[in-house]
Amino acid sequence: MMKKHLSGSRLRTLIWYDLNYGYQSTRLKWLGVVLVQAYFVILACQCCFAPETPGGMLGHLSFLFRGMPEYFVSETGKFELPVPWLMLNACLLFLTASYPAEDLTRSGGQAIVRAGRRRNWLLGKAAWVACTVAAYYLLLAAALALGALVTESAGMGDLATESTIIGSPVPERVAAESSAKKSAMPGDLPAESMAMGSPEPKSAVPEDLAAESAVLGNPSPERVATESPARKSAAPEDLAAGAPARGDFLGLRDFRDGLYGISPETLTGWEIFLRWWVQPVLVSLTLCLTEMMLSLALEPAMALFLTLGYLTASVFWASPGFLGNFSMLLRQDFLSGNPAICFRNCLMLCGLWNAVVLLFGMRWIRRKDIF
Amino acid sequence: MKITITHGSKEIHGARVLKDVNMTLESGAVYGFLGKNGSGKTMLMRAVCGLIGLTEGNIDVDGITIGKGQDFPSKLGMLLETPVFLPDRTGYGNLRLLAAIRGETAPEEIMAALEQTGLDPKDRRKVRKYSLGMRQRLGIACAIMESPGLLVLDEPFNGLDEDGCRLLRGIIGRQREAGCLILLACHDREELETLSDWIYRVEDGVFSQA
Repeated sequence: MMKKHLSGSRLRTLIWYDLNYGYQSTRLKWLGVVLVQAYFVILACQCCFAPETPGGMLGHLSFLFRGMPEYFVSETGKFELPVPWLMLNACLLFLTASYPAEDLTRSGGQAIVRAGRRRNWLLGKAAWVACTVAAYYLLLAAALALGALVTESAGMGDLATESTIIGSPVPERVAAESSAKKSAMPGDLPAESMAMGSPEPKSAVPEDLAAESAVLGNPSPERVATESPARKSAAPEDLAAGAPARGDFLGLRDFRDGLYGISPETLTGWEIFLRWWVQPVLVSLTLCLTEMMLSLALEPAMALFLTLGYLTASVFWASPGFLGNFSMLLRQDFLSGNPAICFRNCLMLCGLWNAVVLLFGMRWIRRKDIF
Repeated sequence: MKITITHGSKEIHGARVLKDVNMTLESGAVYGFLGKNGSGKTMLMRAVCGLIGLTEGNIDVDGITIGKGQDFPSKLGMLLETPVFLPDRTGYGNLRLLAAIRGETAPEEIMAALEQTGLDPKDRRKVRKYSLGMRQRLGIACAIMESPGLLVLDEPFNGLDEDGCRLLRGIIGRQREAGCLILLACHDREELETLSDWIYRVEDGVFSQA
């Protein structure tokens, strides 16, 4: 009987199987993801339209992933859970929670016996998780691009006077956080660098950041100094008249002038890309792979609960041991002054964590009884 | 293909579900397992398939130990429980997706397997509209579509009508003639006696030749 090879190596075909089967199994969840992402991107677009707050893709992305500064318990301090950051991460964890375990048990082992080796099956699942994380962030990027296009061309003037972010205008809220932090931690950084509501550039540069800048390419001081501070080009009356929105599509001009109190004028474009995009993706990938292993060992619901709990713990502890800190912009070293929350540490910790999870997982799956 | 089980035992949560199983199984024969629910038939089948590991002893397939030299027997086709397929795909679509993992089976062979079980390869109905008997037939097609050298069938007659049973008997006969090693668990003693070359009686994890 003539045999025909339908595809290449076993692992490649397994990945293709997982992409197909996994997508079929999670179709309804993807619909939920689209709705959640759309909601938060629309919220970001609305909130970024106040004259004081920057827009463009970076502005919207910063709104979503700003997180919150390090929390210190005090009588006057206000705790606000960073809902967009938490929800977007939780959505992705929900998306990847159940398929690997379902494939193992629901199909009665049909896929794993065809994989030839148990570790091939596990690597196929890990590849599926990585593809899902990548697709999630690509979808988010597309939604942000669409939001930036719409807001940059629609001229939503009336919204400018009504935009709030979770109950209060951003600069005031950020300024309140800043003063709470200043009262709790005097003397860490010059006062100017803590002015999170101020558009003035930060004067202090943490040492690690200076070293990173040297490695990744120094920003041009002349370029920064000569850039116009008039980032919000449209006056309220212009906006009311429906004039094109201020700011550029990417939001880089707004970004350079300050972004929710983030004054990243010392960062290069490459560093901005690493901090704003690569870090959240790395963190998400690590959490999702961990959740996958937990779902195989325990059950999907418990795995989701534990991973979400660990992620939420990042809100309370600004430590590199809680990976969620690396995806919160306000916890980054160039803003918070905590040198441990930097890209280098993120890359190292995530890489190490993923390697341990996969190695442990491959050993564990060899001995697991499949019922 | 030759399977040798040597002092095979399995313990789960303190209970011994397989007790010192010794047997040699060879190609071109049907080995029937007869026993009550929970006697250990399915557990042995899972162990032969490589899905569970023995607490003691070894299972060697052509001289290679399962769980050490290889994770699963090569050329394995199995039907171990009520099969679950993607509900939004056709029967053929589901089998094609699974066959693509090994990448050794042509579409014509998948269609032939479906026809042998009485299913129409061109049926555009999604699996969610299949009856229990149709899903069982699809599971059997899934087990035989890749021309297995080892065929493990646990209660394959469940849910089948008279026509389905007849077709399945024909499939088992043809696979045996093609040199396949077949493990068959069934509650129906008469069916087992008709189809099997050897019958093992299973009671509380102990296998004895009937």
